[in-house]
Amino acid sequence: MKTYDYPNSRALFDRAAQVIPSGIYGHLGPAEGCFIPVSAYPFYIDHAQGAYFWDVDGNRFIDYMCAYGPIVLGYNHPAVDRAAREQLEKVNCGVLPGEIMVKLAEKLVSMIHSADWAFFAKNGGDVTNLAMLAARAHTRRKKIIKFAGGYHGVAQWMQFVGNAGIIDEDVSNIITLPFNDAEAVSAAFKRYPGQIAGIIATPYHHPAMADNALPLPGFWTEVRKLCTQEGAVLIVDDVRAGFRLDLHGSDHHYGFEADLICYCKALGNGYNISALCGKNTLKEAVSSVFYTGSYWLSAMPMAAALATLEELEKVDGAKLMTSLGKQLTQGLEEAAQEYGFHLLVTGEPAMWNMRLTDDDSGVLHQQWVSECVRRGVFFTSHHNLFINTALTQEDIKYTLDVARDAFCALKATRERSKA
Amino acid sequence: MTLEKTRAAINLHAILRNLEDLCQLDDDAKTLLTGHDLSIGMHVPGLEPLTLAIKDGCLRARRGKAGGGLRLQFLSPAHFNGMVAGTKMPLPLGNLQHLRFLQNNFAALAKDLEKYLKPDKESLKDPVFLEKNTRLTAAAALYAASEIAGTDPLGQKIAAAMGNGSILLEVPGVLAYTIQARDGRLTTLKDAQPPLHAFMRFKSLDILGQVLRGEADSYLAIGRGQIEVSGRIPMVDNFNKLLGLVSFYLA
Repeated sequence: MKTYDYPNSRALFDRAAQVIPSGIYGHLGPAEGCFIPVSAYPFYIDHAQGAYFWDVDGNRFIDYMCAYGPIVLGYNHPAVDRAAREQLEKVNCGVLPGEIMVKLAEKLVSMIHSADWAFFAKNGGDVTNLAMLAARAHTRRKKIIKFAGGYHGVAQWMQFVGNAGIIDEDVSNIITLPFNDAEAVSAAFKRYPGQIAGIIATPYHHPAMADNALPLPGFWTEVRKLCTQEGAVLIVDDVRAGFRLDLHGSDHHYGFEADLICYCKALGNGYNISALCGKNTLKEAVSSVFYTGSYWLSAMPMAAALATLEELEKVDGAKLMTSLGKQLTQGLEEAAQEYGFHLLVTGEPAMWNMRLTDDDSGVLHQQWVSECVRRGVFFTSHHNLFINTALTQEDIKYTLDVARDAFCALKATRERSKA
Repeated sequence: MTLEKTRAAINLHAILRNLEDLCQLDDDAKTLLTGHDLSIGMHVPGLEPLTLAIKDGCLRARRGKAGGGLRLQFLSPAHFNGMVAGTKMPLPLGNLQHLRFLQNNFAALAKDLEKYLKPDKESLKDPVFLEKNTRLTAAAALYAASEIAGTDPLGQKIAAAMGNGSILLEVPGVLAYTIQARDGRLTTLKDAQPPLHAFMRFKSLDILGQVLRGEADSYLAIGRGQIEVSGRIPMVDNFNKLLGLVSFYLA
């Protein structure tokens, strides 16, 4: 199979290095994005359509990161882009919000089973942070429970002491517990009676650089009960999983109800919008929080979001992505076995995590992933992957062919190094 | 107090320990050892002692006490740091016949080391000096990171988050160190010491030196393929945070 080169990406990176910190910072860059080795990966996108993107060297990739989640219907979905364009032709960022804001809020309230209202912002971190503030405002308490490995954004309280710029005081009211340990949650409430404002968690455990874990039977029932009993706010961070497991909310998927639920990523199919939805009991608390942003009420992303939700309903998006994900991951596991490797798939099929377990350092997995990338299948080695509804059977077949070719290359490399 | 203790741990087990490498790299340093056979033990309250054993023109630095020899006793980490800064004197005990070595040769060794660890811009233009500076700075930084992990409260938290395993930091074919992490404690060792779980490979000694001297952005270097990281990335990420603290302490 042909493998890709990236001369234009590299040249553009050299230009970027002069004027942008790190060249490309953040999770889309080669350092934090864990491009291992860097030589296997493109750095810049030129254009995209459906399940694919093309880099600046003209190489085509199937995007299994979906831009780290947002691209749920495929790039440049015609209905979403049309809705956005029509709104843009009227107004986008105006001095007042448009009717579209009300329409979108009504849509979310009708879809999300734990939502009585919706509040809009731009990034997932905007709404996870708002959820924390609302919990504190509502309860007049300080402490927040989160689960080890859970990612909720980059605000100070969400990070760790040791990260640049983070001090003890930023995290001194954060209690970190193991996911799936309801007893630990109960013990925390006993240890800090009347002090815990809320619990924030992803609906299932999908940390970076670690196997994913679904909630154990009874975990969420117990946590819900404890929050109700103790007067703490249960916040579900559905930023990553939202609309991929269940169009009514990932809490609905797991059989419980959140008090507050956070959305971003898939909400606008790439148009930048986030939403905090929640129960009427917290409406006033949210209204009381001083929280706003210049672009938060922009109309164009709202139009895109409304169209995205309507399309997801039309195609029964969560069910479709789960089915495609099951098919793909089963094929990947089988491909690994054919070549004598063991691929461990964890998490939900629509956004699965995978890891070769044949080497406990992770180097083998990083090598295999890089071989897939070189052949036009864009995986990452450190993060869960994502399905979108534009993926076809042909794409799955191509992906499995690439996976096999990559396993073949990996096996050959392994045998050469043993010799 | 914590700051003084960590500084003392770094001065002892990273900086003075570096005399071993200096004496392998630098002819002037080797000359200062010729004809001498002695050991110098540095004892700082709250820290494991450092013993410098000099014999056959070589200097070996070891953690822990050695019997006999000249013993330099310090009253506190601050006292020891004062000696390193040249403002305080140690309490010499044990075999005092080597006091002259201490006052003359050892002092000259320390000055020689300082020349490499605090280089002036002119000296760095000489490629031979530059290579020695890089090797000695790398050793100092990597041993210092382990000391910070053991004594600095923030360093301890970072080390605890690393899990158990070993990181190889190398310039392939040129220089290699292994950082072993176990139960929140780090040990820096020379050479690759398998099993290894995470890797930081620098394309050249030059790029390593540039990163250590703050002349190169390590994220850019990763993007350019001048630094390759692989394996257990959280171990590397956390170790890089410790290296950030090294800059703070060595500044």
